[in-house]
This record gives sequence, structure tokens and C-alpha cells, in this order.
Amino acid sequence: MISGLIWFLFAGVSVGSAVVVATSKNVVHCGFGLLFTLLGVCAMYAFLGADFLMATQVIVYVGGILVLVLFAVMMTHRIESNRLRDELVQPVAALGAAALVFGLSMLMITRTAWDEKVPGEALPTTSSFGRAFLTDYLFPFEFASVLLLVAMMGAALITREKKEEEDQ
Amino acid sequence: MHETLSNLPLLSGLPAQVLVVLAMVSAGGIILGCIAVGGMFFIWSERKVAGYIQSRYGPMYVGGWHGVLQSLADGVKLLLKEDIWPEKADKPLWRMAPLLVFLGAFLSFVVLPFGPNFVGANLDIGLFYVMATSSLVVMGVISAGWGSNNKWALYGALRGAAQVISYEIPLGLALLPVVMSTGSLNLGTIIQAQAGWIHNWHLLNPLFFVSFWIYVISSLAEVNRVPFDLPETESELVSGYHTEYTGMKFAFFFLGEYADMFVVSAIGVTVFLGGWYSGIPALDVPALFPLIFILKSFFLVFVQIWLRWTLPRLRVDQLMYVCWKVFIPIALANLLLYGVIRTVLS
Repeated sequence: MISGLIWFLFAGVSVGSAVVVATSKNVVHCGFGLLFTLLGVCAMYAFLGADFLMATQVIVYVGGILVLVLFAVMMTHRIESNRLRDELVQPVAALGAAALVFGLSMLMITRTAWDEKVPGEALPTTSSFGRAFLTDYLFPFEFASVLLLVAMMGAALITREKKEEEDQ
Repeated sequence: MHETLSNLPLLSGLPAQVLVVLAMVSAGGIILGCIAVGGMFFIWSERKVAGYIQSRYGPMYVGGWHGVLQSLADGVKLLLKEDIWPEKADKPLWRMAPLLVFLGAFLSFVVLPFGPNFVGANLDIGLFYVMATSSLVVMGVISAGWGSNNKWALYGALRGAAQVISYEIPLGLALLPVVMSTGSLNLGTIIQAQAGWIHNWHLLNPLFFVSFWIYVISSLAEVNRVPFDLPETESELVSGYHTEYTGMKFAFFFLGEYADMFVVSAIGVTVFLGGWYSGIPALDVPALFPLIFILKSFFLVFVQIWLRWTLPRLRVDQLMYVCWKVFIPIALANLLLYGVIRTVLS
């Protein structure tokens, strides 16, 4: 019962802060709302016994992507005076897109034959992840790594070219 | 914890669910107490070491012997201080920041292995988990810098965030060879791999020795200590991201910072310095394990304090140069070399 209550607490945190992300007119508040949504989802992973996924979620999304998003927001000139406008078209389009995503994911969730397990003690998942990456899913894993490496080199190249132009 | 509580005669009549909540609250309380007492001790020792290095006494009056209760007096002062906030501060973010910084340190304490059975949560991904919780500190720093609505605070926060996310990479890469060697991210398992005489410590393996120094130097940057204290350079940014904070909010930043110093030291001890083992098998009795672990961690904290009062500060560009062009290549080469040697030997 108590773990159920805690589950609802975390679910409430993720949904509540997701509402803040969608409705807040201050971009920085949206960013910090996203922080709590991600942490709430992270707690959901913990409830499912997915410990490795939980920590990866925090490292990649909170420590990496969210920090970069906030960096970009803060370095933008006069961010606070440019409040996001809520025109009539935007909410309608957003609702349409959200309904589409919701419908598709519901379709996927209901059509998939899930391998159901009773959530209990957090079992070590790290070694099975590693084994799966380096045997069955070696090609997608390496492909993603090379893709990210190329993206990183591309980013470095773009910034360097700009710098040389400035020097000239 | 839960079982211990249900065995107490006074509490045995309570329903199981109440006991679970009680166990959670008391576990949190114990960690909070450790952070508060430890933090106060570190602040006092920082001032005493600073005094010794600068040929003066430091605090001498409060508490009788060498001012031992000075931090307690300071704590009371901070509690009673008026809570001032900037009029144009972004209030929700400004209030949240000290809590996020403190939460990061608090969550790391949960997995620290003081002894084989003396650990808050024996997570299978312990080391990875500690890396994850440090991300929360970054968010706290950014939140403080933005929420304060102050240029110094914002500059400090941007520097802090850039520094911490950059140095996380060499920090993680330095820990990886040890993880490869023990085949586990569990902090207890990593320590058990170093049992026996002192030559079993990971520090004394040549490749791990390189990792250890990269780890120690990068961890200084992670906790914003000299020579990497650019987020709070008092000569240019007043005191960086916590310029606008007073009273208890400031105390939370301060305690969080010292708790983080202990966490990075404890992880260093766990991974490289044999954890709870003394290095002499005769001394390794379970009763001494927490003491040995804490003493070793205190020594690394002392090294951080010692460096603070000895070294000058780096420039921002030097800081980034050291991280990206020195530490990351060395750590990557070290990791590759270890992998090759391991594969060849097996």
C-alpha cells in the first residue's frame, strides 16, 4: 500500500511538472519543469526494477541534454522579454499532435505481447545489458556509436570553420 | 533497518506499514545527521588547516579546545539570520536551488559503503548511481544562477555547469578500467577485490595509478575546489552562484559542498584505496571497517583542504584545456591500454 502511495506521488510529480512544461510561458521554468518530469520517470524505472535505465536516464537527460537546453536558453539574448506566445493556432496544433502521439503509443502498448513480471527486488540488469549490446544487438549498438561520433566531429568542424572566418 | 525496528520492544505492536515508513524516515534522518555533523567538522577543519598554513590560529574560543564548536555557533547564527531575497529574483527557481544542490549530495550518501553490512542501499549500479546524482548538483547551480537575477551569479552558474559536465567525462573514464577489472559497478564488490595486503589496492596497479590521479584532479573540479573554484572566484564574481543567498539557504549550499567533498573522497577510497580494508590482513576485523573507511576518506578531504590553501586558481581557458586536451586523451589511452593488456593476458 505504501509503495503504491509513493508510486502515485512520483506519477503525480511527473504529470504535474509535464503540465508546467506545456503551459508555462517562461522558457526557463519549462526547462526546470522538464527536470522534475524526467526525475519522476526515473522513479517509475526504479519501481520497475530497471536500475541501469534509471541512472542512465539521469546522466543522459538531466546531466547532459537538459543542461545543454538550459545553457542555450540562458545564452539567448533577452530571453525573458521574448515570452512564448499562445496564439489560437498553436494550442490546436499541439493538441492534435499530442492526441496523435497518444493514440499511436496506446495502439503500440495494447498490440504488443508484453513479457509480464511481478515487480519486486531490483535485479542486476547491467550485465545482461552489456551482453545484449555486444552479441545480439552489436550492429545497432556500433551503428549508433559511429553516428554519434560523426555528429560530434561535425559539430567540432562547424565551430572551427566559423572561428577561422572570424580570424580572417 | 525495517527488521531492526520491528525487533525493538517499544515498536513491535505497530502495523508493518507504519514500520516501513518509520524505517524510511529514520534512515533519511541518520544520513541527514551524518551530513550535518560531518559538514560542520569539515568546515572547522578547513579553518584550522587554513590557519595553520597561514601561520595563525583560526577559530580558538567557542567550545573550549581549539574552537571545536565554532561551526555549531555558525550554524545557529545562520538559522537565526534574516532570510533576504532579491526583489527581482525568479522565486521558485531561487528557492529550489539550495535544495537541489543538497539533494545531490544526500542521494550519493545512500550508497557509500562504510562496511560490508553498513551501507544505506547496496545498489548493483552503485558507481554509476553516484555519477548520476552529481547531475542534480549541476541543475541546482544553474537554478541558483538564473534565479538570483544577478550577473555574477549567472556567470558563476554557467562556469560551474560547464566545468562539472566537462570534468564528468575524465572522471568516468578514469573509473572505467577498475570497473573492467572487477566486472562490477557495485561499490562493495569493488572493495572486496582489494582485500588482503596493501599491494592488492587498485592504486598500486600502474595503469590504475594513472587513473587515480586523473580521478583526484577531476573530482576537485567536480566539487568546485581550488584550483578549479572558478564558479565562486571571490575576486571577480563576489561568490558566484550563491552571492545572493543568506541564512539557511546559504547553509544548505555550504553543507552540500562539504558533503560532496566527502562523497568524492569516499568514492576515491572505495575504488582505488582499498575501501574499508586497512591493507594489513590482521587489522581487518568487521568492527574496524567503518573507522578505516572514514579515516581514509577524511585524509582525501584533508588533501582537498590542503590544496585549497596552497595552489593558485586556473583561468577558464586553462581549465577547459586541461580537461579536453590532457585528461580525456590520457584517460582514453589508459582505458584502451588496459583493455588490450587484459585481452592479451586472458
